Amino acid sequence: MNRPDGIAFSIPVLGYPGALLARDIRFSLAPGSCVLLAGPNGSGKTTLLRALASGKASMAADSPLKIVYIPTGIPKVKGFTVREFIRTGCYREEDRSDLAERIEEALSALDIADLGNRDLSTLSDGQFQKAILGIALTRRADLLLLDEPTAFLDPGARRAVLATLRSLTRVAGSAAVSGVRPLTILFSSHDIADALPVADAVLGLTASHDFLVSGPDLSPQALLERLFPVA
Amino acid sequence: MALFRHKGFLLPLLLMLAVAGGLFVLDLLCGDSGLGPAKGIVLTQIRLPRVLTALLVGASLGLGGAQMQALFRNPLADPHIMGISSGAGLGAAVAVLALPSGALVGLTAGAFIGAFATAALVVLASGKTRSVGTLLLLGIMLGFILSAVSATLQYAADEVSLKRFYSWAAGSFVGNGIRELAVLGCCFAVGALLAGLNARGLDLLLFGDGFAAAAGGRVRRIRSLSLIGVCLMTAAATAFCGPIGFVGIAAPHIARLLSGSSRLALILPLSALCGASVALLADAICFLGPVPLPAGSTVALIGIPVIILVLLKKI
Repeated sequence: MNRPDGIAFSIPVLGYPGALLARDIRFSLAPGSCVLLAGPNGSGKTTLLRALASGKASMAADSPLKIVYIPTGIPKVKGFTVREFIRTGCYREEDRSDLAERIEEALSALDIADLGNRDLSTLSDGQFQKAILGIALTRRADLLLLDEPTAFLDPGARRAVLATLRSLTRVAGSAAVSGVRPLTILFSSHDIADALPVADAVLGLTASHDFLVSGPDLSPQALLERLFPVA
Repeated sequence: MALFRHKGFLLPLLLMLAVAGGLFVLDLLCGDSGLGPAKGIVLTQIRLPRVLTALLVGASLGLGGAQMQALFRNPLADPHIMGISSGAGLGAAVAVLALPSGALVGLTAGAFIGAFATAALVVLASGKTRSVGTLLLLGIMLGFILSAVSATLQYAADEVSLKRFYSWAAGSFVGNGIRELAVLGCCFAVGALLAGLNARGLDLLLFGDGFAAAAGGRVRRIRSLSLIGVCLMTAAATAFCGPIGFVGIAAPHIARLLSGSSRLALILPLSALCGASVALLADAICFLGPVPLPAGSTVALIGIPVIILVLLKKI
């Protein structure tokens, strides 16, 4: 699975104090790919994303990657415009001189430039999810880790967000947003049916703490059947 | 500065500066003794210190309330929610019991020690707890325990001491001199500085601890810095004036309503001005009746309707 141009990760032990979730996780992500992370509740999806975000995982790539992690369940706080929200999410960006321009670029890449001055509380859930993606684009992420970006969305909004994820990896691949480096996305989701068509590959964590990677020997469909066996 | 170009900031700021200024003058015109021949002395020695106290205490509580509501992501949080007023109350009760014939300084000093000891405990706890919910519960429980001990002391106290304790507990801006004003002013200055430095971090906390950490914010540091400032301001205000409630809850709501924003960079100064205005108005109302009323009560009389209206979204 270790493709020469891939970003290779390895996590010897995944867990947190009091819970061991998986051992010896190894996988690589092709630059510019959109990858689904699936698994039953409690299997460790969020823990895996956090481990990748916090640098606990050892990573091999051609050059250092800018990793942006977006947690799930962000509230739509009244009294913040989309622009102010994105700026808030860029709390620790070192170079802030061109932040305003980067925000505008991100808004137009996401096709939500008209929502820039709207209050967050007036956005639909799908629009808000795009505003959240605006933070990752403004921060010029190379690897974007999204925890449940489609949670609580209605089917229409869910498909729209997934299509946006798909297109971002392509747009970024053509160097329109993130400079020369393609954007790679790893996202967790329970909405398998909608997520599978947009995913280039699937990673899975089973309830019994096995880590699976789709590939030539394991089709995404077969992987999902092992993740969610019919009782 | 970009902030002043924000349409939700400059207008409300000018408005609240005018309102606070007007109420400052109005409050100076109010008092329980007529101006008479010693006009200058009454104005500078009695009324000005009282009005300045109301201004500083109101601004401190407004600034504290805005931070606590952001920190706990709860519109009903106020600077007293971490039990500081109960700590001050216990300190005052101990002082009244230990020094039954002592001067009022004993009571104030006791309240001061109680308030700052509680504040130190809160700040210490905030560095240890991971969850903001746990911290809130700790603060509320701490308040209950301190109040319980304080009630025991009051139960055993004699009438004269109790009367003194109760007149402190009713809340008043009267009777503070230059020394007390200097302490209040210093605590406000430190609190305002910390709040200003922490405004962006507090914005981040509004979107959840997970979001804040993912954006690179050090959640516990932001929380502790803010609590140091709020506790400092609240402890000083409560020690000198008794537990003045409701300003801290109402002021941030008025500020958000005026600006239409929740960004702390806007809300902090506006909330301080709103808090000062509420306190000045409440202090002026104290002297409308035949006998002076305790400011703690008039503040509640103004503050509570504001809170109810805001919660019902009528204004």
